[in-house]
Amino acid sequence: MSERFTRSAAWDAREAVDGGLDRPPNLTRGQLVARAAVGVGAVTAVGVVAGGLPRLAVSEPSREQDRSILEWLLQVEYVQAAFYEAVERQGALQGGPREFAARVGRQERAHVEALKGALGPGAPERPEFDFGDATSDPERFVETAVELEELAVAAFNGQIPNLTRPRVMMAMRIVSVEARHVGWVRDLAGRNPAPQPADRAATPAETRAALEATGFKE
Amino acid sequence: MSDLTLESVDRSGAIAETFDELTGGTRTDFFRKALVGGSALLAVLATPALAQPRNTPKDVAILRFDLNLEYLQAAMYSEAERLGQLRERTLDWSRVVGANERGHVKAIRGLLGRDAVRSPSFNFRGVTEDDRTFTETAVAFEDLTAALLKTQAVQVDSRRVLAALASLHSVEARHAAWIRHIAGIVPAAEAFDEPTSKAKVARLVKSTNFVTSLPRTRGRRKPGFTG
Repeated sequence: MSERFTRSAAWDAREAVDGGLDRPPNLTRGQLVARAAVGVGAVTAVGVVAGGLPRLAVSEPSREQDRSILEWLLQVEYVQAAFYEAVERQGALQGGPREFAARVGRQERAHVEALKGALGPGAPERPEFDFGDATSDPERFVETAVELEELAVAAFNGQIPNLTRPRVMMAMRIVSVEARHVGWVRDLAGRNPAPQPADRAATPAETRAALEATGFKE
Repeated sequence: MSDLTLESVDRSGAIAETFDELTGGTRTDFFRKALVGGSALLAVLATPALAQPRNTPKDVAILRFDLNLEYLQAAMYSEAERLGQLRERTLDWSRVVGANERGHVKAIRGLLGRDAVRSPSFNFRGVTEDDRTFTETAVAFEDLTAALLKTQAVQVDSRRVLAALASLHSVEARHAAWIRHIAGIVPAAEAFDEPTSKAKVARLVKSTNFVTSLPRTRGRRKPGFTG
């Protein structure tokens, strides 16, 4: 078992925040934040996501590490599920975006349930979110959906090599669908759905910073 | 889609050049240079903690199969782009995705090093000029490639290889969603994508009759598409 997991959760959380910077980042925190802030008008809320993750490949996969990672990925799914639920509740979108939100929302809820099921008792509760007009203004919706789906793909890709085999399969089956969402919504937005031959892998710190920058968490 | 062509093709070209430079170097050299490469792909492949001196035989076999699959896709989409007979949206897709698949070829060749195999020869039998057949074939290839990479992700020995396959896998899923959207098929039909076996992918490839000859093999190495 890795040394990291013999330490306190608080230490882990701090380390997860600090840790993103002492390896070569695939995308700098500033870039991620800047991208995430597009169309959102962000002010930071504290701690969208509970920390406690190892940096990529610092430690060998273990069941303890799986749990920490799945808790993190659950937070990412919570944001998405809440986002599309708010869209459906408000019912302000039409056409392609409406169809996208309805189908993708169901899938994000299924991801939430799968991750909660894998975690069992003690899975983190869903936080409250306020998405402002990103769930009702068509342009802001599409921009925000692109960013949230991109963040999810990068977050999963960043953790897949750190999981044990059974969880690798679970994460691959989910990230594949998240990547489909990105391809779909970028096409809706008139943006290149696959602008690079390889997708980046974000550290938890990078993803956390980007999510915090959205200001969605109440 | 004004950002479709130049950006993606140029970026892939830069990656191609980088990899071309790297293939001559030692593995250590490869990783050190890759760190300054700046692309996500290079960074993933370059994560030092994941670096291993050599691929296991199992990983070599998996990567060789993938390399042949990427050769096939890259060749098919590049031919479609060159011939220019498809509808505009399909042609946009083939241009961007062809560049990505060529990037995947370079990436997997980089992972394989001296164990890389050469490309088979292909004959696409008119599919690259017929929008409907091309689209159907592309949907099948992209869906199945993404499905195959899931199976392989739990099979590979090396976490470095796993990280690399994961970074390619989600791009294949983007491709699949995009071509489905163009074809008017739901881009993300289910909440969870299923894995598939190498044998099933090999059967699909065989059914197309696209592979006309495999490169001469050395020793007991098996051709890539026999499943």
